[in-house]
Amino acid sequence: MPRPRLSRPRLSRPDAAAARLIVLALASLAVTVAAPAGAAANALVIGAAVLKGRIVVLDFLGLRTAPPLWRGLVGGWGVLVGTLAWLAAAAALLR
Amino acid sequence: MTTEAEATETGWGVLDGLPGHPMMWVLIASELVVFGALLGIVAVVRLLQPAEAAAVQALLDPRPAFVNTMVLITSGWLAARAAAAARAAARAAARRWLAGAMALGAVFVAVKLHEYATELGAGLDPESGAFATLYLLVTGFHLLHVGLGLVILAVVAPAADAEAVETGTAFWHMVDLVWLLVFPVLYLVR
Repeated sequence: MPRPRLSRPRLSRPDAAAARLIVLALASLAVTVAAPAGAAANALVIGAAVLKGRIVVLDFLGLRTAPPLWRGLVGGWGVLVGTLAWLAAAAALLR
Repeated sequence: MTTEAEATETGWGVLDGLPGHPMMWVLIASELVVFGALLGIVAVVRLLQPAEAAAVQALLDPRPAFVNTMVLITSGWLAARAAAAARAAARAAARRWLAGAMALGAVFVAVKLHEYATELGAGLDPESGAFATLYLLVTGFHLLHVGLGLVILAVVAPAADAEAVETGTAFWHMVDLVWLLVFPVLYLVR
């Protein structure tokens, strides 16, 4: 007689995505409060924002199974905006 | 026998295979271009006028903006659950999830309007310089999109048709995505 398969209860994709988003948002807040302003803190905050954007794109917008072109375009939008913001702030700090 | 990808192709070319109505993705792409250009201008202004940008940022309170970030994340989660329920033909559940997403959207609007009132009362002058103007332009434009998203969700909620809900929630997630970048770029990066 085959043994019944035991499976761990798993969060649905939107539930797991929401949990990751909340953790990243709280981490950004912690960096903002605890770390001195500067290029490193900016990189952490912007990096977390880009990661959050990627989670929204893949798991909320549902582009995980969409054509790679769209995943690249919409996901790349966040990377582009975040990189520009970080570069501008870093250059302003160096002036 | 056709593959799943072939079965979902509908003759929209590069727009095939996306959730919701393909025309919504034309709108989403154009909105991302506009918001991307605006945030790019913010970066240039910060580079050219760092002192003015810092002075304006000192008047901004990131706490309500953080609250709104959590509100939109939660609202996006409810919208994603609504789309999943609609795809499973659980229309009553989809309507409930959408009602929750809309309620939190209304909370976002209320918090943002209260924040504007506080900031303007503290001396934020839209005409004081480029960064102040851009702050109000970007966040105001985003707030308009939250309002439009609420209208779209209200339109698709009663029938809770799967494709319509996916179309409406795709717009809502775009609004969420934009805010996730607007918040750090305008409030946190220094």
